[in-house]
Amino acid sequence: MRLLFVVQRYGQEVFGGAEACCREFATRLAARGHQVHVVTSRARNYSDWANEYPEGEQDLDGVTVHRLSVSRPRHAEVFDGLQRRTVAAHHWTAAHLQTEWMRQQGPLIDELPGWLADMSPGFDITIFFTYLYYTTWAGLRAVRTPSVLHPTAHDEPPAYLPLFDEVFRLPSALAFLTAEEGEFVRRRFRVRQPSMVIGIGMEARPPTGTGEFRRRFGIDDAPYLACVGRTDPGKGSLELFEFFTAYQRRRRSPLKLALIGEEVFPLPSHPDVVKTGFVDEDVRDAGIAGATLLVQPSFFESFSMVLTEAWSFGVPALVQGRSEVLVGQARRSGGGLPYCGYAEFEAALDLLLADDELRRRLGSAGRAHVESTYSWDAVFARYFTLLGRAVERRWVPPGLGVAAAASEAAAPPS
Amino acid sequence: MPPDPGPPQDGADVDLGTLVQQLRERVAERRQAGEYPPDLEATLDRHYESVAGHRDRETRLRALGVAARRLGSKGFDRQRIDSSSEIPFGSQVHRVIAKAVARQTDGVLRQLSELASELSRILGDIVDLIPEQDDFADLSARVDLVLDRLVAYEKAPRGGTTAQRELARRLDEVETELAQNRFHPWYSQEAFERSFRGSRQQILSAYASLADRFHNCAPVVDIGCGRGEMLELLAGRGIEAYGIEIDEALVEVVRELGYTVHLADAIAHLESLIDGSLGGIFLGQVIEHLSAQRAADLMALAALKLRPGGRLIIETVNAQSLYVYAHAFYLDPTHIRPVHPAYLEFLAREAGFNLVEIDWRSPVPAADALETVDSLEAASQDGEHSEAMREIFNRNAARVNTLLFNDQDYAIIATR
Amino acid sequence: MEIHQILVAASPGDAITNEALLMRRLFRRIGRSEIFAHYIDARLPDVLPLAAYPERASGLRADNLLVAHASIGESPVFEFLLQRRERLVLRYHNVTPAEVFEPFDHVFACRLRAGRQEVAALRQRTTLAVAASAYNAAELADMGYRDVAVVPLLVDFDGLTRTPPREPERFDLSGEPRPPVVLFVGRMVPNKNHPALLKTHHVLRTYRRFDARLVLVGTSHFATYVASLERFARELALPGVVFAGAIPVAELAWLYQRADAFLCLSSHEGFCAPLVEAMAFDTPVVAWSSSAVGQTVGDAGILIDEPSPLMAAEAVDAVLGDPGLAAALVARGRRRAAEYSLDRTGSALLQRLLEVA
Repeated sequence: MRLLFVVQRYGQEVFGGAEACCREFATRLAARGHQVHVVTSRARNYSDWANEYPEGEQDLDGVTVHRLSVSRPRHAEVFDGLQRRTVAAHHWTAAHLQTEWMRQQGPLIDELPGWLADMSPGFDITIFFTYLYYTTWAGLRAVRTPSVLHPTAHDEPPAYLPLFDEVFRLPSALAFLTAEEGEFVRRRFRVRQPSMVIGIGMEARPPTGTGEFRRRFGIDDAPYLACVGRTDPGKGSLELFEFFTAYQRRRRSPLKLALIGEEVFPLPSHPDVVKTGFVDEDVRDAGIAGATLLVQPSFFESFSMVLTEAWSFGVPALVQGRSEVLVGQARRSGGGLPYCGYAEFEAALDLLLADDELRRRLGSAGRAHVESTYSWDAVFARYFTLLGRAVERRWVPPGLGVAAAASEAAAPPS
Repeated sequence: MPPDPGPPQDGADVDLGTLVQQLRERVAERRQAGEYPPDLEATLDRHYESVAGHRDRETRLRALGVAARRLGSKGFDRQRIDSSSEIPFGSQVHRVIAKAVARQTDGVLRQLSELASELSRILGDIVDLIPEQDDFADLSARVDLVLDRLVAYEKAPRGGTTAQRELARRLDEVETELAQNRFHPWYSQEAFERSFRGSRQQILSAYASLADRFHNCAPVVDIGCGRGEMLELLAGRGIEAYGIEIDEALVEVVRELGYTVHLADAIAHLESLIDGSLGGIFLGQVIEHLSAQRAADLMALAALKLRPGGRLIIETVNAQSLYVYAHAFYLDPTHIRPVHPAYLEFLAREAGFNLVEIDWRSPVPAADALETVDSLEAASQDGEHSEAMREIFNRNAARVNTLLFNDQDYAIIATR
Repeated sequence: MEIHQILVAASPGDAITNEALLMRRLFRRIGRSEIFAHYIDARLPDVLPLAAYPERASGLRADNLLVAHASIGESPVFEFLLQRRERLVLRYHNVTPAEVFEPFDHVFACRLRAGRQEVAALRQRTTLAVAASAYNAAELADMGYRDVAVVPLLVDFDGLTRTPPREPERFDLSGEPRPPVVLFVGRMVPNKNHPALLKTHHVLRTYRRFDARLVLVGTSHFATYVASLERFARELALPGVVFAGAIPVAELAWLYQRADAFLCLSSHEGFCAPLVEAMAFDTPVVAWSSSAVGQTVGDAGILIDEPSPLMAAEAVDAVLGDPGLAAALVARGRRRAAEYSLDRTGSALLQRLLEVA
């Protein structure tokens, strides 16, 4: 098939769950012999969408990447103000205000709609990643092929903006990372088009460089918790920092906390907290693989790739009990323990640090789960069923009288 | 205190004309740079206009709500009926009449008052329920968007338009389904009717009383006229009539008898007539052959095509009688559903018929129904007690008879 | 000699009523002078009902004058003016075009239309027409009036600036850093074009000044109009807007002092006293030069030639961001306000009246 991916950022240096997920799909589909193109911005950073990558075409692991310039960087104060007035408003706000929130959120790429209108007819299907950003909002309206949206959505305030009704109505099909995501999206948007929980594939890799990681960041032989991803209050990193430092005050254990990822919102320093900052993939993987426990403290998560990666290394996990998605992932795999609040965090750490056998059991349950569910063959078998339905159905959005009624009557979505 | 404007100056060094020009240029630059969304000003103008228009609508809605609540408040009273008269002793006459019909008047007033309070409540609800228009504010924009996208779809270089291909496919499906549902018996309908509807004589005598009801109702159309019994009865009474039938063989039979009959579909034929051009419409054992949709459509069409005073008679099997299911209904493989008399009556009233009567017909043969006990003399010595038992038994028998052995047919007679 | 004034409606805080009270003070130096009005607010006990005119005024005398303030139609007042024989001075404040009121109050729009017809019909009856601005004078000339005098609206700016200011308690304009405050003062009526003020605030607050406040002072007469403004602000989720309503003079004085800019985007004004009040309080003025506004402001404020929210926001932003510009506007404003001082306008008016008396 000829596949076109649309995503807000793309590249090796881009950290972010949805973006990484998109790259996995694109790269692996290209490796399986499909013609894969990606259209994206030149940005690496979502806080201002600065044009960092060179403009134009680039081949990355068999994928042709088209990078378009961001027309205007994100202006933090303008965006924050609009965010407060739309997303955080407790009443209906004007549609044009929401549109402007989207434009200011970006990445605003003026030439994207035109590019898609011109270029997309050369593809069988266009695949969008992440419901939230301008690339998806503007792209879905412009694209001239059947389309699939990977919303990577979760129950978070922006998802309730009426603006997104359209984003979820336009795609020919929807692909979800988890059952929880599917449930949320179906509940919030009452989607009628074909949809399926696709998940993401995972390959167990032998951990390498774990000793190097410990040496480089001064952890040496101490047990450590790994937390991966950008530091951001919504991602729970602040809560984890506070819980961990409280734990150390009370227990004075040799335990360390390694925060692996870009420090977007700075956290204070602490002798037992190691901040790696941005590191490349191998270092990151080594950091996960060598950890005593992986902690996933995020409140808003649509699917934690980090969690499945940790399990693929046999590393057990502690997960944020306030995220339905994470709890679901932990329950299905048997590879993680949810905690809610400090007391549970402390109890869980006490229990797990003391019991090597329990950690081993959790870790291997996680690995077994990942191997059976997240094999790429299983993922792509599901995925192509969905793509096939998207292409064949030519989903017509509801609300168009006869045509829509007829199409729905003939092929009710399963 | 006013802020200190600084060292005394007269502001003469500022050229406001130049400044305004500079401001104008700066606005243009910002617009050019995309700092503002495109058409920001027009968007804001439109937004406020819609809000101002909305206020107007809301004010009117509020007024409507007040009016609705006022509707029921005044109440209805016999005392408010004027009884004055210019004729000598007229008012006395009025009062006497009023007294004589007071009961009826009060009944009517009570109903009217109920109607008014109900109406008031409903109107009030409507006013309350008319939603905040918010959700619809950008509906047209969304529709535009969807249309844009549809157009885009249709332009997709894949041959043929999506909608066209899709519709063609649907059509195929629907038609296949229809073909499966259509029934093509190899025997003749005429033979079937002869065997099961009863002899021509039986039907003539059964329909005679119905034919009488078409007095002064010419022209009458007999829809699904079958072997033309009703046409014969109407001709005998000098009432102009013709038949409609979809079975070609039956059309031939009726033609040979000398009556006017057209080979046509009932709804298509009625649609082709001028409104109010018919005096009577008869459907004998027809409506149970129609789908619910066609039955409802037919009723509305009948009301439209009959002139005021015109009459519609629909005779059909009685859905309330279980006996019918055991004997008559499933005998005819083309029956779709029995139509309940209460529904048919409702349909007629909804369609705008003023007077709707039901004529119960074809009682179940007495031999098939439960018998009643006439006397218990032989059965018991205890006369008084047994009399009570006899009554109880007969009441129960009547109940069972009503359920099981109710009249097999009924006719609804509806007058415009 | 007696000079009596005729008003359609007398109510406290109203610019025309205020002028009538100032004129009465002036006229009483010469002789008897009363104000007669068709509608009288209970808070103005010394204004007399129009019906009492025959018994309270000493009737026909050659040098007696009737000064009639015209701004709206009211047939009893019109009939009265036609019947009386005294010489008539028409004080023309302008009649707002009816169209802007039509969506909100049809009856009021009709009264405005009638008002214009009545002013035109009084031409033969009028000895002297005194317009509150050159713009108004031009309108009268169009109706056939000749030798129209122009005397600006009489406003006691000194009295207002000397009022001890009091901070309003109902709303809070504080913040850290001190947020810029944009002020408009004027009744909540459609010709004052409040929607354009809200649109400007939206532009300013969304893109330029993230802590800007907009304070709208003025009594509300048209519930539907005010409701439309509130709804507009709500749908825009517009922060930092204060609908202050009618406020005491002391609080008004405080607001004029606190404001960093006075913004007026009215589509129609016969004079617009608050522009001059702002200048008297050293508040820089930005305005759309519609109707008489440009003449009132003169060279003492930034005048834009269309009520564009982008342009208005740009101008306000320039005033807020450029102390030199603000200071220059303040200095020019002081000078301009002095030209409208009560001493000057009062004596100009008196002089014209004595010429015909």
